[in-house]
Amino acid sequence: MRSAPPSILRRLLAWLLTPGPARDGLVGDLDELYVQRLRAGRATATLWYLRQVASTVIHYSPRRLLAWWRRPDGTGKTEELRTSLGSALRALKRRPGFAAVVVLTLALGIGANTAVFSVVRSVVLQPLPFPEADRLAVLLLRMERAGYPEGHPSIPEYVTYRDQLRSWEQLAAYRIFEATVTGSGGYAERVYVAVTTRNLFAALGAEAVHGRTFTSDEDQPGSDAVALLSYGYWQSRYGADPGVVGKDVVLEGRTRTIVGVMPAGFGFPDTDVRFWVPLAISSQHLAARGVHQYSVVGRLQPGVTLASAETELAAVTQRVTADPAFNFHDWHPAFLRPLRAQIVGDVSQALWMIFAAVGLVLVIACANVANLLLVRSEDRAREMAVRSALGAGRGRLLLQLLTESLVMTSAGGLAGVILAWIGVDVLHAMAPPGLPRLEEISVDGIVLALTVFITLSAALLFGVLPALQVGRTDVQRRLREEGGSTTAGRARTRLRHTLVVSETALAVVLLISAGLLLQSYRRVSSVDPGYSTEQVLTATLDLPDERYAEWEDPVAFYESLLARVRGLPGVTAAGAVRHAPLSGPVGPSSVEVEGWVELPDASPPVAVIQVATPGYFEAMGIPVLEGRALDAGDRDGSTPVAVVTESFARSYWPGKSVLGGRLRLDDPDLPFAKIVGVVPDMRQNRLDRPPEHGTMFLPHAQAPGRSMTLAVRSSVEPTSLVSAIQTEVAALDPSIPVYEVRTMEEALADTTASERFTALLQLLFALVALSLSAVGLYGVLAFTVARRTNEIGIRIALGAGRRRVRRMVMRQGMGLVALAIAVGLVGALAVGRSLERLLYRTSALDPLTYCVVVATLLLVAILASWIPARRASSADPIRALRAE
Amino acid sequence: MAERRYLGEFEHFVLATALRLGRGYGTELIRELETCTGRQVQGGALYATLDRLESKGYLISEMGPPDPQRGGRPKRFVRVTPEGLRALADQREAFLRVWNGMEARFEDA
Repeated sequence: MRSAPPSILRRLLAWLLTPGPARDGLVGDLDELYVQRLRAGRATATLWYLRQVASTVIHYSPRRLLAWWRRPDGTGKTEELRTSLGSALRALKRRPGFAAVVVLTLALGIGANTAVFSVVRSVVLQPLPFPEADRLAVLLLRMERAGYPEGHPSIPEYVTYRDQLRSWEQLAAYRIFEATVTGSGGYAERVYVAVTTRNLFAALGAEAVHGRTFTSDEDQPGSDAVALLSYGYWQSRYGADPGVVGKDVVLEGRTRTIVGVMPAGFGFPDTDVRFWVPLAISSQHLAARGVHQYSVVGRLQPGVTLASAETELAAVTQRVTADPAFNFHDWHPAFLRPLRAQIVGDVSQALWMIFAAVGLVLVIACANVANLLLVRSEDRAREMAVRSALGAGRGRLLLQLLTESLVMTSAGGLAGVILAWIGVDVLHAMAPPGLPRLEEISVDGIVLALTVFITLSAALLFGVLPALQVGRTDVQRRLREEGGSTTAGRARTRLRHTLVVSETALAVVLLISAGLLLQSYRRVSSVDPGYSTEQVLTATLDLPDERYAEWEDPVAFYESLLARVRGLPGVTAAGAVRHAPLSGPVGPSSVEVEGWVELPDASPPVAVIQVATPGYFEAMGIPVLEGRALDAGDRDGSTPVAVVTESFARSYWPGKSVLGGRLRLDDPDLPFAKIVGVVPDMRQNRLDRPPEHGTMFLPHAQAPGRSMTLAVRSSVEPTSLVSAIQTEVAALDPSIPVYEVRTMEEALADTTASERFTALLQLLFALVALSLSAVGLYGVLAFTVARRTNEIGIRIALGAGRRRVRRMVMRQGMGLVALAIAVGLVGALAVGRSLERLLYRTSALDPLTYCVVVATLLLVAILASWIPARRASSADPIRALRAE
Repeated sequence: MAERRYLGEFEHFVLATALRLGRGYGTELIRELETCTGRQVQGGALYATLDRLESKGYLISEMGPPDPQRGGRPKRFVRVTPEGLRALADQREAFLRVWNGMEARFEDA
């Protein structure tokens, strides 16, 4: 039986210790003890020995490092490092272009990637700012029957689920509405208010920073006159005064006592919410079965999965609907969705795509730096060989290359970090307003560290790898061969070519997806929405109920306001409408079309109900296709009239004129309205889809509303009218706030902001990728030319024309690019398929995009090849011959 | 009070054990330390401590002849120097002062 410890461990131990008493004594002692321990079995003894070696590593490796650093002869490594730092700087200064390109590549790779990754991470990846957020889910209804893919529960449904479901710790209902705050200073302001069941805060795990959240009696009708303040509003409006708790605030004319302030960063369901007020469920609520207005969110019991909660939900739904006493003929099936998915929604798909692009750019950047460094090391192989021949040790050369790489990578890393910071700011400014959790975006330290680590490791690795090779290469052969081609050289050339081809192919893929997205954005923003967006200003007003209680009050108010506005200089038309286009989703209501025979399985007629004043169509540039617009003659008491959109008219009055047809809201108490005009279909909610439902416009005088949006068309810059309009409103009633003041062009830009954002980001990446691959191509060609200078010089001496030499180099470059384009196109076809869903009226095979990308790439390739080609053609034949 | 460098806990154990053994070598030290302290001793830790004590001048070590029993490696014998002895004496004094009159407290422990 062998009685010595495993030799590999023993050798490791000996290597760790410097020669001397420690090494001999310890190795011997441990051998001796090992033999004793063998009695307990080989495995035990070996394990013991392993622990002994490990502890020696801990105790001796610092010393070993120190000993290596401080040489006994006084020329310590510190000195050596200083020398190599100096010569590294000198070497880099000799080729400032090379150093600049490496630094730039690293900066782009690190900076652009970190910036975008930070956005993706904040929006998609980071947990919601609630404790144990994975237990939070929302309860939704499938409401296909009512014309919506999904909807929110009504209060009776919420109460039923809350009382019957056992999977939930808390199940809360809430809704946002807009309200006018009247403060003590006499100011009036429109703010978002969330009305919520008391347990919302418990469900989310949030508590007030000052005061408290709602108590159990505050969700009873009558004792619910309390409110919670948001942190931001508390700071801006109340000067962060903790004494605000207990004070009164007037919301929508109702005085409420402030009971608490929520913490900074608490912004549920929306960061714009300024107040939370309790939802006191009354008997009216419980009777309102058809009012699907309240969102329901809850916290699952610990350990309950979404799937099991959904099973329970289905069981309860079935039990409830089966009970004849319940008589819920319109009960919609319910389902659950994690809160995160609800908040992040469709954004995540686009962001993940961007994320993929980021990954590709990172790969390209790494490949590029690697390639440049490989090229450079080839370039310097002779220098290294000479130094090695002059007696520089392998360690010394390694240190030299390591220092050079370190200098470049630190500069690149630093530039990258700065770029990341700027980039996040830029993205922040560019981001669409609807991007969730936007305010949480900041440069992510972990991401930054990760990117810096990946890129710098690649750079260091490729900076030092060649040095290891130098040590191995036979110096004499190296000197003799004078940069001629060898087998190893060919293998490395192949590697470089592969790198360039793949990064260029990736750039092709990125460029094509960016091109497709841009094309799609262009089409979305140039779509005809059915109204004109130029020179139109919109502003919303809301008249308080108590002072405009009578039917004719709002009618009179808006009539006199519009008359005043029309009198302003520069105003060419003015009107008002209930829901301005692109101001938020508006759902349809059921309507009754006179004489329409409902088919058994077709859905009943629905339309978006709009209310407009005379002048609205003119102000919005909506042409009247048939009949007439609403006018001042349509008053209370005259014949009820309506204007409908084109496709609505076509579907319910097929093949005949709609004028004179009659319809009404699905309510037998209402009179039928006679259709007097037809306007084009209009994109009310979004631009990228034709409207799903028709619209029916009723005259304001016959269907008055207090909340209306003014639309003012002008021959002057629309925003210059803002203060004049505010003055006119104040002249009529100073307590009415004017809000959501914006031009229709701004509304349009906000609507398409997310398409623009995705397309621009993608373009940004594609451009980064393109410039990186141009650098890569340049690097490869420059290298080839440098190595073949002598050969080329001889060719010229033998009579080859300079033009022909140039062509030779160009041909090599274009060959690589052609291959890359072919590979890239195949990749783009694959990617295009998954992109298709994001595209609006743009084929994933859009020929224009493909042509432009290929042309751009060829152009860039020509530029990148041109410089080395010129250098080659200017090779000096005399020098080449002398060198031979 | 003159500046005095106290020994670390493990240094203290090692130096005292070396004193007890007179002229001991690694394996003996490890065995003795394990018996006295009841803990497993790592060779690396012991040697690092021996090196440190030697550099402070509390110990001297000498190498024995190559020993075929131990793969041809010599033994490292260590002896406590007069300075080492003084350091131990000081340490012991200090300990005794600290514990003076407290024996009764440990009777039940």
